[in-house]
Amino acid sequence: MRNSGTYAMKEKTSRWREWLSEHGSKLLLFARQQTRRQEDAEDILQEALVKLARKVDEATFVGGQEAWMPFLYTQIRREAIDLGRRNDRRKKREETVVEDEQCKSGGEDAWFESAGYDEERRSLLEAALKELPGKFSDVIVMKIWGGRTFAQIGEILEISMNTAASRYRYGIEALRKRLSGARIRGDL
Amino acid sequence: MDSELQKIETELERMSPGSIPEGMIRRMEEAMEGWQEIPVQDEIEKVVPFPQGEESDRVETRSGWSLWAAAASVALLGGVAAMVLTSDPTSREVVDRGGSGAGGSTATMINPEAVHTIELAPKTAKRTILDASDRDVIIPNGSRPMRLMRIDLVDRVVFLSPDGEEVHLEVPSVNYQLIPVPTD
Repeated sequence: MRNSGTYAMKEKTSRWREWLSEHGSKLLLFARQQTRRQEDAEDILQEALVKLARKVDEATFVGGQEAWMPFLYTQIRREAIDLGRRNDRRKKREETVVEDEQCKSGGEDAWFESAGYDEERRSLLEAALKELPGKFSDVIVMKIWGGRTFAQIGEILEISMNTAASRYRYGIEALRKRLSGARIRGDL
Repeated sequence: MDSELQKIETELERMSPGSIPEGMIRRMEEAMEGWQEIPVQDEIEKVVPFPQGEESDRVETRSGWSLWAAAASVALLGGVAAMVLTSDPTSREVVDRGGSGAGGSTATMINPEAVHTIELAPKTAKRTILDASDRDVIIPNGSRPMRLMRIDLVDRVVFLSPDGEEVHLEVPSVNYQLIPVPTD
């Protein structure tokens, strides 16, 4: 019995690990995009994952493994909203300003890996993405790095598929304008 | 989407999200395995949901109250109608008070002996909400914040006289209700 229990635990552990290794970075990126700080992103991702694990183990999760990602995107967003509300109540303006400055400057807070890509260009794109209004970057992050369809994004964000598609287009267009501005300023 | 936008899209696709460090994966994995150890209470405290229990109580109270109020309204309206509606036109008489001619004052009195009740059977009774508006959030005695709602109602009752005539009565009213406000 003990052996089978140990085996079951190992099997479960490897299942989460393998899955986390494959999808964790996409989810962390989304969590990162939803929050101000890396620590907050990790916290809300963990809380979302725990909720998934609870539902899967209790057999109350509706859908198969392919439904985990949409569930987690939705859950991360909810956790971020809850966190935002809590932070709003106790936020200190000075800290927020400092955090915002840190967000804009990028640096240690990079969302993307630099390997295999023009670093300067990547840095500008990342900064432009961070400066986009959340409603646009939500869709872009889920579409490009999450591999979600507009229909799925619409469900997660509780908007229509057409709205999701429009936001994506406007978001990409806004990025293009920002990059054009950088080119004119001589940043590129 | 034009070619320039597609170019941006392609550039974005080439960017890889930062990988999760091994330590973080282990931490997430442990948290997922150990979800049983996380007390449910924590979860409840973290996000305080709208008080469902109180809400259902409130709804029940309101619906129960509404039923009794509707019944009381019908009874009251029936009583008022019975007092006012008389079948004998001679029940009213003019009483001369203090003098005659143009200078004298007159008053209409109801002769109690001539008044008799008729029975009006309520046919339908309906309460309609005309408007509901959010007035303010108040904190009674420093306890949980409550939202004050003003609800404009109208009770419409149709009575049926023994002769088969319908008597329509409308009674407007205003109710105020306190609804708990969700808080963290």
